[in-house]
Amino acid sequence: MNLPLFKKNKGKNINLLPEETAGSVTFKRDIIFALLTPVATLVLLGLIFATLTILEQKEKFTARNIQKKIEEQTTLWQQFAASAKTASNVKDAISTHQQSTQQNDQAVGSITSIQSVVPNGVVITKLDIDKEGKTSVDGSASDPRTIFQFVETLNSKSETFSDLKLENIGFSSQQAGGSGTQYNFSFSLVVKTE
Amino acid sequence: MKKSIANLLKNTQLLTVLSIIISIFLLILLGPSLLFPKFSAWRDKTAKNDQEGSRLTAITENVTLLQQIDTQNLQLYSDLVRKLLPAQADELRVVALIDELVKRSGVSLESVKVISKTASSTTAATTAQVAPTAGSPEAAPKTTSGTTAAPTQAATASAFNVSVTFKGTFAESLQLIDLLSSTKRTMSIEKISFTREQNSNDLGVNVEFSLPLGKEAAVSPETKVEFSAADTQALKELLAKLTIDVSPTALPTGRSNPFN
Repeated sequence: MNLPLFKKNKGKNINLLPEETAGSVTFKRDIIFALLTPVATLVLLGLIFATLTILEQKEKFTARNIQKKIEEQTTLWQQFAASAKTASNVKDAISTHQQSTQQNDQAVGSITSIQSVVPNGVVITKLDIDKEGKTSVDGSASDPRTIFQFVETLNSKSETFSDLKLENIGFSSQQAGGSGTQYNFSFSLVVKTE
Repeated sequence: MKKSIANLLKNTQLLTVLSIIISIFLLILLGPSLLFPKFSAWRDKTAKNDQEGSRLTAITENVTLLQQIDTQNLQLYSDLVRKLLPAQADELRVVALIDELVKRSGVSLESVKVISKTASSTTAATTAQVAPTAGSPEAAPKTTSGTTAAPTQAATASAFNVSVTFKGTFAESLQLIDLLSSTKRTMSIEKISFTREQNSNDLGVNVEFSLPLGKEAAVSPETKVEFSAADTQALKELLAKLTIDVSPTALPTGRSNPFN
């Protein structure tokens, strides 16, 4: 009880007062203290409430200001709405066109990649490529070692070709043209696209 | 009774404890019911204002960016885009363009088939009607007269496909593909198939093209539309590069005997 509230009044030393009067002063002081704490709590709550109300009102004012500015800017934007739409369409279209050009370049890239690894003596009879790079190759050769070389070359270039799968290899004693023998093959692979 | 209460009130420690208990009770009672809703409302408003502030910034920036767009050039780019990606299926123009590419590359055209590609919004009945034509190669009409797509169906789709079959050498075939990069119509190769012709150096080539259609972009004041230097450069390059286009003929009309 060393709080200032409990300090005895220097001007009125209760020890010098009669016992009844001194008791009454102490009692009043304790009652005031007992009442003061809840009152102070209420005042504090009131202050916080008032502060929050002021802050809320301030935000309401800010919101009105922002809304007003948004309306002004939206009205201004309406003047450029047609340009915005056209520009957006142009940008989307350019993006689509660039993707398409890239897709076509990849198709050509896939064809030339395979073209560059076909050994002499191997004749491609059918080549199918789709946009994902899935490829099927049919061909023929008189010497099976050239087909072996073809497949080995494709396998060695794993950065360009993957999932090589020999579908079929066969031997026919006579070509359609009637000259000699040949081995027919077909395999599938994926040409990696960037 | 009065005396006992007076005695209780004389107990300083009890009074202190009581006052603290009442204070805590007030805090518990009024804090959540009075202050918390006020605090929440203030926080909500602050958050909303932050959001709206960002929106305002975005709109202001967009207005500034739009003010900087060169509308004269924009019209030029828009015209180009309408040719690259028309809003509606342009089968006849595409067939005429393919005819032009075929002539320029030196290959000989075997067949052209326009395949409707139905969008998800199109009904199943429509798909069923189109499927037999699209699915049977035998039914494929030869040459440019084979346009089979119904314009109303294609108009709802985001793209349509064209299958082109031609004969030519490997170099000629590659040249035709190369010419696509100069064509004023976006055409993507979906699938390409080379078949060696018997007793000939020529190849039978079948290419399936996808022809995307333009979409109307939905823009709002918050949508950022910016034309960067790279965009402008890309458009300028395209304007210079895309030179192959076709227009309808302007022949005199009205023949005395259209059957001869």
